[in-house]
Amino acid sequence: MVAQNKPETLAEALRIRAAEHVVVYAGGTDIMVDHDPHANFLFINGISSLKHIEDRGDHLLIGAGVTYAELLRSDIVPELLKRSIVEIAAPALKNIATLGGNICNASPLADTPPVLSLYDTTLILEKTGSMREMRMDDFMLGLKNIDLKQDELLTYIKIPKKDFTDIYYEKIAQRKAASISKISFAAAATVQAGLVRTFRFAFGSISKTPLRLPELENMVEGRPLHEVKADADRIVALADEKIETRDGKRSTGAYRKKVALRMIRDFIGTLGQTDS
Amino acid sequence: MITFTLNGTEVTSAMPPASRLLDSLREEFGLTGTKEGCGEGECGACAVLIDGLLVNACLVALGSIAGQSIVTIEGYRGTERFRVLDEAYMKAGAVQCGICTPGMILASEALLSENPNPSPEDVRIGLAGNLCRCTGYNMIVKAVLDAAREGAGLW
Ligand SMILES: Cc1cc2nc3c(=O)[nH]c(=O)nc-3n(C[C@H](O)[C@H](O)[C@H](O)COP(=O)(O)OP(=O)(O)OC[C@H]3O[C@@H](n4cnc5c(N)ncnc54)[C@H](O)[C@@H]3O)c2cc1C
Ligand code: FES
Ligand code: FES
Repeated sequence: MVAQNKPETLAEALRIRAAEHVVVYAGGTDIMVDHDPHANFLFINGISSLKHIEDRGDHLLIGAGVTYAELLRSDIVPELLKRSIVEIAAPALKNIATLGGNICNASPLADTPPVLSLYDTTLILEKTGSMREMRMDDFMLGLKNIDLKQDELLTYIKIPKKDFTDIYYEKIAQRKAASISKISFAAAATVQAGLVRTFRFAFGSISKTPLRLPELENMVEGRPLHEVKADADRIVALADEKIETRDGKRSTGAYRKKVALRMIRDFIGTLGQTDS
Repeated sequence: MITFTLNGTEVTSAMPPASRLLDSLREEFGLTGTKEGCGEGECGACAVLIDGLLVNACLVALGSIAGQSIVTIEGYRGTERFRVLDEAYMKAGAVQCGICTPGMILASEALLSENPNPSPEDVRIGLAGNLCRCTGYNMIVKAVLDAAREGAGLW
């Protein structure tokens, strides 16, 4: 009998991963599109330990095999992450596509990585007998290009808890349900007692990996809210200098630049609405 | 060899684990109610229920469903819920060429079992992954709303 390669435990999956040349299969929604009927898949969808969402005090620990539908049903998953997921495709996809798959596919167009980046998300990568942890931003290198060893699996996604008071999410796409994004924008800030303590945003679909602008974050953080609002022109002008957009299959670079800058300005405009 | 439950009966497939569930259903088991539209997960014509959840069979490798339970439109046909949906679709004129219909019906089932009293907007979201080239959707939305009313208590 041919090995089925659908283990029930992580230990067994890691053993197969090291012993054979396999393609990891989580929900299959990326790999099945250019389908190779002879692929040697390692099916990880039967491993129940990779399907938990746990509150670990200062962070959430999300199994790589948790699906979008499961994330949306959870009441401990951050609202901003849910916003990026609600707009991903239709129910039939949400029921099997996983968060781990979205990260490992590492598409520039993927919707969750910009949000995960804002949370300083780290990843747990395991092989038999050892594990390592690294920042998601360092793990993702570009389409299908990730810092994953031949014998490793992504097992958990660790999302630190943040005290964001303001969140903002916008995705521009042709059609809602099968909506490959032209540009997406996730942003978050902490505004307390009139001060902008944290301020960050990330774009999807603009560069190979989620685009953050640390210089701009530094320029805003720690300043009074009214000053930041008054300075919106200069902040947007700096963003204009830093963001490079090229013409893509779905829209021109000039269009995306314009939209990007408008989103930043709008986010600054909405800041502080919950601060009293 | 992949063993799974198909419409309530345990079956074994001889196709390689990387084959599409869609091909196994149609070619191996002769269940042609599951249609192929786009083959890329975008149209919902190939929708089936896996352990009760709506999934597009063109994006599912056979090996991934070992030990799981699949319901296709042929298996769903025997249920009272199907009867109610079938009648509602017919009355509302929600079927024209019929290619999208098996997937639409199963998507309707998945929607109603999660939300037995959907608003028109809920129905549109629930069926957002199912494309129809003929009806213009309004009749389908009406059919699902009618079925929810007619079949109250079933879901
Ligand atoms: C119709 C359609 C619409 C879509 N719309 C969107 C959208 O709006 N936004 C969006 O972001 N994406 C979209 N996608 C893409 C896809 O659904 C997502 O990227 C999804 O999250 C992939 O998850 P998966 O579990 O199905 O991945 P899989 O296809 O199983 O895997 C993807 C890749 O990651 C690797 N991998 C998966 N899990 C692991 C792991 N634990 N360890 C190591 N490697 C792993 C696989 O080997 C593969 O290379 C869409 C896809 C389709 C077909
Ligand atoms: S054929 Fe499967 S979604 Fe279109
Ligand atoms: S009835 Fe023809 S595609 Fe829907």
